[in-house]
Amino acid sequence: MDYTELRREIDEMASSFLFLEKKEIEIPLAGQFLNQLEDVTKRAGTLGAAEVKRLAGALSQLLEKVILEGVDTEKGYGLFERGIVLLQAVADGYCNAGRYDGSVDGFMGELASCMGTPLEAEPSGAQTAAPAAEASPGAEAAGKDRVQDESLLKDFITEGLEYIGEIELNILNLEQEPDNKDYINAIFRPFHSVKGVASFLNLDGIRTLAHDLETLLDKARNEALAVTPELIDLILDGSDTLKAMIGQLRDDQEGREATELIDTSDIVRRIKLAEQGADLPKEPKKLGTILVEEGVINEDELQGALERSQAPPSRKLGQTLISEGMASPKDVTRALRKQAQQVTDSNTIRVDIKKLDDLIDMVGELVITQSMIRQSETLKSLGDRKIVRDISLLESITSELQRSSTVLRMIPIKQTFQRMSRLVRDLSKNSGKLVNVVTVGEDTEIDRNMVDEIYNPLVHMIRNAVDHGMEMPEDRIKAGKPERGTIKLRAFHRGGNIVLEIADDGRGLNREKICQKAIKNGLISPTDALTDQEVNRLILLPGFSTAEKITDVSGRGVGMDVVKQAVEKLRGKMDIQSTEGAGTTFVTSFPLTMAIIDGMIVKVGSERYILPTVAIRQLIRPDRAAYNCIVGEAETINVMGRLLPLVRLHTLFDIEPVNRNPWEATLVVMEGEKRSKCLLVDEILGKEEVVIKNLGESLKRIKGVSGGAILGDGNVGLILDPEGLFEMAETN
Amino acid sequence: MDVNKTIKILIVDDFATMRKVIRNLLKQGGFENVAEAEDGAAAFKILKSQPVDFVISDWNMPNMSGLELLKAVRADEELKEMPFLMVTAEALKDNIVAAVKAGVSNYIVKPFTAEVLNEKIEKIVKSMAA
Repeated sequence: MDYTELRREIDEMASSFLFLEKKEIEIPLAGQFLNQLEDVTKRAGTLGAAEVKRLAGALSQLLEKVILEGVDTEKGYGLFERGIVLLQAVADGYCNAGRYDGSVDGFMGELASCMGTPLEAEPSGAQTAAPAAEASPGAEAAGKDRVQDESLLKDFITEGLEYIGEIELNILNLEQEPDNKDYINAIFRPFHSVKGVASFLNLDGIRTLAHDLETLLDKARNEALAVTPELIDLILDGSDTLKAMIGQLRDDQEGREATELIDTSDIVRRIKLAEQGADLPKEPKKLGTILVEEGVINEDELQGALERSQAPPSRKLGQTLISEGMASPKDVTRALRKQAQQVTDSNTIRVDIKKLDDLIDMVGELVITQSMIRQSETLKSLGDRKIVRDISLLESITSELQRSSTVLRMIPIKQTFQRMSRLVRDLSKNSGKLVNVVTVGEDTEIDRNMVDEIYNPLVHMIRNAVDHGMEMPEDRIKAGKPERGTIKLRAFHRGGNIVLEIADDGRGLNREKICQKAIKNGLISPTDALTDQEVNRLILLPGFSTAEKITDVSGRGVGMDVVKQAVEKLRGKMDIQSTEGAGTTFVTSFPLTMAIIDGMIVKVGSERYILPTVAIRQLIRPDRAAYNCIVGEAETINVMGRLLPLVRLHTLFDIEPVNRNPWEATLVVMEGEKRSKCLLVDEILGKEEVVIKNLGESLKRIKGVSGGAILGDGNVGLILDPEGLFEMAETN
Repeated sequence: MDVNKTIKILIVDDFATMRKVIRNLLKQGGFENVAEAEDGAAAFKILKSQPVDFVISDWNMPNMSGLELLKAVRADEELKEMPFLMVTAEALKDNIVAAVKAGVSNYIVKPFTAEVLNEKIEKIVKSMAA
């Protein structure tokens, strides 16, 4: 092994150290040493010179400490000098004999004790010099800089508000790409800058809040915290508070009536809780731990007391401690109260969605089993009253269990709507447009799994509405419309789907322009005669969107075709209604996968099917006269003056029915997305709430069937999709 | 030896108010020959095109951070001797050590007074002259 290089490098350090001014640190030289030590550590590592590696590593830690003013410079340099000499000796040993016979332990101990002295007391260790640097000079600066503060304050208010506005926009980006470090950094920076200036201007409240938010983001950047919607909401709330505080400064400056002081305690508390969420377990601390933390007892006493209270006769830890006089009743009650506090602090828990899915599946199995027991002929023949009673009790408990477990995963669309409203506000502010948001049907429930899935398509539609749909205020006035536009978000259940509408009262789609563009892009030929509806749908085609559409707000030039694809991937449907000059409405509907639906059980021949009740308008048995059949055309039924096409379920599914004549069978009037039809079935068996079960990958795309469900008797029934049935009927 | 107060100092910070704060503090110390840049990239352009004697740079900036600027300066044949004072928000160990290793002349922690700033500048300029 060749130790000469190592030796040479150490000697070089020693000689440059000789010329160093020992009273004061010279940063550039210290930097050189750090790099050299790093190099030495690496070299020693590959050569297997353990003591050299250890010593060099420790010396660079010492030097870092000196640089950070965590250790007195003179004292640190004294130690450093001795360390270098020792390092030379160790390297000598390796050079001559391939090993070092002495020990570096004594010196390492000294080093550790020097670095561990009071200055190490700062818990984080990372901020050693910060408190000293912040406290005294800051206060000093206050008096001196008062005069210049005035104009600086003004600048700070303007620029600060601008910067925080930037935060809000970047957060929306982050929301879509939570892993993108650039976005986190873009949000981090403004907080950081605001904090920096606030510290100079002695704006303590602002500085502290900005600092807390910055710390939170730093953790997110270092992946110590996950970027969850909750975290994003918290950051938004934080930036709102910050904005309000700066706004108050401005009011103050402009001599306006002082508003009530903004209370930051709640937001600061939430930030702290969120921060802890990363490295602290959620479960409440044990009583003993609290007492140890409070200094009432020490760790050893706790262990002893725990053992004694577990030994028979077993008692609670608190009782043991009090009876043995180790803690006063007051200490124990206080600790207990503190413990209870922790529990109430978190009255919601987060559960992995997988666990919920498993639970819901198992409950499904339970329902089947329960239903099998209920229908067991053997049990029925017993004629035992008690068993009958017990079984019906079991039945009501299982159904309650099923209901409550299914609901666990359903959440109102409200939260999504709120985020959308916020998005509209931010987008409109940025583009100089005035837009109101109206939401309808916020309580419509949707499966938690779907919420995340539909989010991105919705964001794009909203962006589209604000970006391209809304006019500038002056254009709106010119068009005789109110200056302020409206975007209406509406959610409701229809035909077993959740329908989300985004309606704006903007300029609407321009038929002329769309046709021109579509012709230019080769999507249609100039001779095509298209209905308005067809024209509108053109913008959903791939290849329609071009780079022209990119604005600084939309960011990426994602076209509507991508949105449509995303919607379709969720087995959803998308449509556009538009009136030129009066606005555009995007209508999307998504299936409520894995949700409960209210189903009507119908029978055709020997088969049973479930029809979503929401899609059913009427159940009728028509007169013979209401039935019309024109040869070569579809069969129709006159339902209260409306002629509706007749769809024979038995024909679609190729089953031998009991009744073929509508006036002898039962007709279900079903409503699809745009049209209604009469479905011919043999009879209605009843109504039941069923849990939709996925049919699995291979059967997923069967037309007319949206899923399966376990019926009350334990058998499986297929859930029919009205829209799919209609399409089947139309193509036949 | 008194430090020459007419040296040209370049302040690099993305926050305009912060640049003004530093400018004011420098003025109190008697330094009035000041230029500003809003990020590392802009600063580097100025350094390459104008005579500058001293750089005071923020750590966290878009486009080109303070550390990147420092590295670029130290790697540049003409600029590698440039006195470079890094401004950081806290004495964050990792940041400072990284800056020191990259060859920073000194660092200063926000908030600071005109006196501390003055001291740091003098210390750097003197050690450069020595």
